[in-house]
This record gives sequence, structure tokens and C-alpha cells, in this order.
Amino acid sequence: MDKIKILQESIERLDKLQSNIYVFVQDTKGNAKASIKYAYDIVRVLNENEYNASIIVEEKAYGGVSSWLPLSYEDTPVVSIEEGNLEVRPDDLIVIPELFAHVMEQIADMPCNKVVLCQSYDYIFETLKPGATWSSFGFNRAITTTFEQKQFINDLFKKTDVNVITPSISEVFTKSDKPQKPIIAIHTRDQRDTMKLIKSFYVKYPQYKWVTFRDMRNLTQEEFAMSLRESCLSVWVDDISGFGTFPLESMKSGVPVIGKVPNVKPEWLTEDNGIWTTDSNQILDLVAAVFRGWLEDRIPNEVYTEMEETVSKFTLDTFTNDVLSVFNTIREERKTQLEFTVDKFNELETEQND
Amino acid sequence: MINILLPIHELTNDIKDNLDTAVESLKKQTVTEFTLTVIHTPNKDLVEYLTNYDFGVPTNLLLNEGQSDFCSQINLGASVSESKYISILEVDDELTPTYVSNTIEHINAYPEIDTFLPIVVDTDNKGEFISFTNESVWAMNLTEDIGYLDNESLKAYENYQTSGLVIKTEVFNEIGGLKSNIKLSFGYEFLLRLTHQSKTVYVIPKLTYRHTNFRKGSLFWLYKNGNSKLSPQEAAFWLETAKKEYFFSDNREINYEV
Repeated sequence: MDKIKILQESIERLDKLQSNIYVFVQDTKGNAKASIKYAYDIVRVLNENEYNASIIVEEKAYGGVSSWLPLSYEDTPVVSIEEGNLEVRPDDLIVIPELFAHVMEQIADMPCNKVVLCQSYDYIFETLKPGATWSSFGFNRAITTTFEQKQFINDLFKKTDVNVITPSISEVFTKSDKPQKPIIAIHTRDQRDTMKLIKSFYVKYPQYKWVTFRDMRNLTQEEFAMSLRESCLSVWVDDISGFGTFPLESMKSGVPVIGKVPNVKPEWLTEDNGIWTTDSNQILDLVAAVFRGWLEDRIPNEVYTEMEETVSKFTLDTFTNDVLSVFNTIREERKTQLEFTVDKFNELETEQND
Repeated sequence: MINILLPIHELTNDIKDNLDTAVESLKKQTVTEFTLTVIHTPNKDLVEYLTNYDFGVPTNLLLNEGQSDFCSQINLGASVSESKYISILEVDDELTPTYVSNTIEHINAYPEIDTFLPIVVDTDNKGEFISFTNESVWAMNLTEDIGYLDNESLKAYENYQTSGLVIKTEVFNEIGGLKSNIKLSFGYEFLLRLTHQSKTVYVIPKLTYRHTNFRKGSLFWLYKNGNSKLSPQEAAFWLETAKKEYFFSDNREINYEV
């Protein structure tokens, strides 16, 4: 009887959008990370549309995002597991990033709905035990950022339903109203690669020793956007990138990208919207050649036009529509599951009474 | 908006060829917001040649009956210029097609700046790349404010040049123009004087000016090889003189003495 009542209440809560949605993030200790912003953006969109979503973190002493994201992000509700007063109902939803398979395992027995947030396919097996899958812990649905990653996940986990929520590129990224400067913004997965690239560039091309490379790490979003827009070029090396936020932010800032094509090529990457190579040994020579092209105004206008066209697809409207559509699907699906369970309990009860 | 000053003091076959190259580079500009002023001596052949020359861009011919040295010619051009900005084009140099458009873009973005220098691409007589000049202001920590030339950095590092310079006409005339009494280092002295008087000098980070180094017959070639050849001691003297003379606006009489 109690079980049925709880489930019926859950169905009602789902109908009224009262269920809790918890999106788990790691504590980056104040360091900017596009994947964390993506999680926050999901929560913000949900809350702006009458859902009841929060960020969930492991420790009470969470560093937050106020040091690198705009103040408006501070309003996002945050709860911590460590506080110990987290109660979940069958209608609640917990979203766990792919990197945290150990957390998935810990919450496997919780009666709530569970979804994986997979932004980087390369981290899927980081903490999964050999032979285990997400389904092993009751995670039968995943959200990812590109259709290529969706394909990748489906190849691995046949039982998992995968939805794509395309990230938006923030409006904070705009073109400069001043001419660009001989500054090259650089973003690599491993910081050692940044230093290696800069040092070898100066040795191989001493005539360009006066060029400034700017490592785009540890900046607030505002600083990041400002630095990017005054640069003339950007360099992106990230073999395991799942989406490629940095090159898109560059494009939105009107800064051509010289990039190494990641192992899983993002669908937005075309032959004409940047200067791409599959050979990391070519990056230095490309930087020198394209920089010379910029100095001589020889970068074709088509590159800038293509950049604009590419990034125009990653708007907040598209992101909002994707978020609402996916979470609505999850909610409806959960409702159907719970209604089915209620029916089964009722049948069982009738049989017992008979 | 920009009056490009091009001084010519004599007519030789080399100068005819160079003039063709310089004018051709003006015709190829992607925007037309400039005029050309050719300042020339009364040399009869030169006058006739220039009068009949098809410049293909809006051009004024300005007769100079005074001193025919490079500095005096430029000063005369600036003194009668009605444009807000003047620019210096040497007859043996050439502009890339985006020289004017880049300059205008920077003038519009930074109307408060008094002087713009291009990054000069120095080539040899065959047009082969030798080096850049003026680019170093973009190196981190070389100047006080990246992209801007300042007096202290200039005193420590002399390798800047005024070829392709664009300056507010009013500022050029106000600080006294180029000093013809300073040999070799008159451009350097001018930049020292500008920065000493708190005029802003910004280097446009584009390769828009090609300068032929030591073209046979050029002023600097003559300093090295011709009748007015300077000894290393005299060259050093003129550099030191620039560092002393920039405090003065007037073109003081200076003689090299051993």
C-alpha cells in the first residue's frame, strides 16, 4: 500500500515538475572547465523552465564557480552528498558524468532515475570496472554533446539510450571592435604541450620571437573571452576532445583556429572553417604560415564567413530546446515506468486479495 | 584622409623604375582614401617627367625650390598638407595593397594615437627578405605598453624606422618635423623627440611596407658607399647626437668633428 502511494505521489510530482534533478559535478577548485559550465547551463535552463534542478557535489566545502563564471551562476542551487540529508524519491533524477563510474556504483541501489552525462568519450572507462557497463548500475540513458559521441556510446553500450544536447557558445564571446593583435591564444589538453609548442615555435621561427602566445588556462570566463577576441589566431590541440568548445568560442570571437583534428572528429568541423591537420607535427609550420598570412592580410574571407556560419548553430535557443526536449522525454519515460509499476503492484494486490 | 608624401630629388633610370614600383603599389590599394603628394626639385627633366607621368591615383606635384634633402622635402610636404594625416613613402619602397586600409582601420579604432608605424619588411636589392623592423614593440616586456613605442625603449634599442610612418599632420609640424642637420639618424631622432614629448607611437602589426635596404644610390647607401660615406666613428657620432638633440624642436647646426 505504502509503495503504491509513494509511486503515485511520484507520478504526481513528475506531472507538476516537482521532482528533483541533481546534476553531479566535480570540484575544479576554482579552475575554469567547459564541462562544468555545460552542467550548470543545463541546471539553469531547467530552473528557468519550472523544473527543480540542482548541482550536486561530493563535499560540503565545494569551491564553486564564482571565481571564473559570471555572478549570475552563483544563484544556481548546489547540494552536497556529504551533508547527508539527501533523500531521493522514485521520481527524482540523478545525472552523473561518465568519469564518475564509482559514484554510479555507489548509488546503484537508490530508487531514483539515473542518467549518465558523457561529455568526453575518452573518460568512459576511466573508473568503470572491467566488464561493467553503465547499465550494471541502473544507468540506461545517457546525454552527450555530439552525434559522433552518441554513435561511439551506442557502439559500446547497445542498451543505452543516448540523447544529444548541443552546447551553446556563450554570448560573452564577441568580435573585437578594435583590430586584432599579434597574440596567439593556445589551448591544449595537456599544459606540457602548450609549453612545448611555444618554445619550439620560437626556436624554429626566430623571426617571430615577438609574437605573444597566451595560454588560455586559469582565466575567468570574462578574461578568457577578452583575451581571445584580441588575438589574431588560436591554436587547439586536444586529441580526446568530445565537443570542442574552445575552437567554437574562437570562431565566435572572429579568431581563426589552427587545430589538430581530434580522434573523434566533431560534426561541426569542416574543411573551410579553420586550418586543420591530422598530423601534430605540422602544427608549428601551420602556425608560422597562417600567422604570416594574417600579417599580410592573406587569410581568405571565406574562412571568416565559414566560422560565422558554423558557430551560428550553437545558440542558447538551440541548447534550451534540446535540454527541455531531452528532460521532458526522460520525465515522460519515468512516468510511464512508474505507472507500469503501480499497475503491477495493483494487479499483485488484487491477486493476493482474491 | 591620408596624404602620402613621396620626395624625389633627381631623375635617374633607377629612380624611374623605383617610382613605377612605388606608384604601382599605390594603384593596388584596396581603398582610395588617400592622395599622393610628390615633392620634387626644379630639375627640368624631373619636372617634365613628373608632369607627364600617369600616376593613376589622385596626385599633387609640389615644387620644392629650397633644400633638396629628404628631410626638407618631407617637411615642405607636411607644411602645406591639408590632410589630417601624412604618410612617408620613399621612392625605392613599396606598399602592400592593404597599407591604407589597415592604417585607416587603426586610425578609426585609435583616434587618440598620434603616430602609426608599420612593421617594415626589409629586403635586399633582389627583393629577398632580410628582416622585420619596428616589430619588437610587440614582444612581451620590451616596451612599457605592448604595441607602443616609448622613449626609454628607444634609447635602449635603436632599430626602428620611420619609413611608412603615418602621423597627424598637426603633430608633425608642431614638434618641428625631420631635422636635416642630422645625418643617418634623423628618423631615430624624430621618434625620440615624439616619444619625449609624450606623443603616442603605435606599431600596426601588419607587414604593409617593403623597404629595400641599401639600394644603390639611396641616402643610406651613400652614407655607406658614396661621396658622403660615413666612418664607423661618424655613424656612432650621429646616433649619439640623436640622443642629445631630441630635446630640441629646432634643427640646430651640428658638425661632426674628430
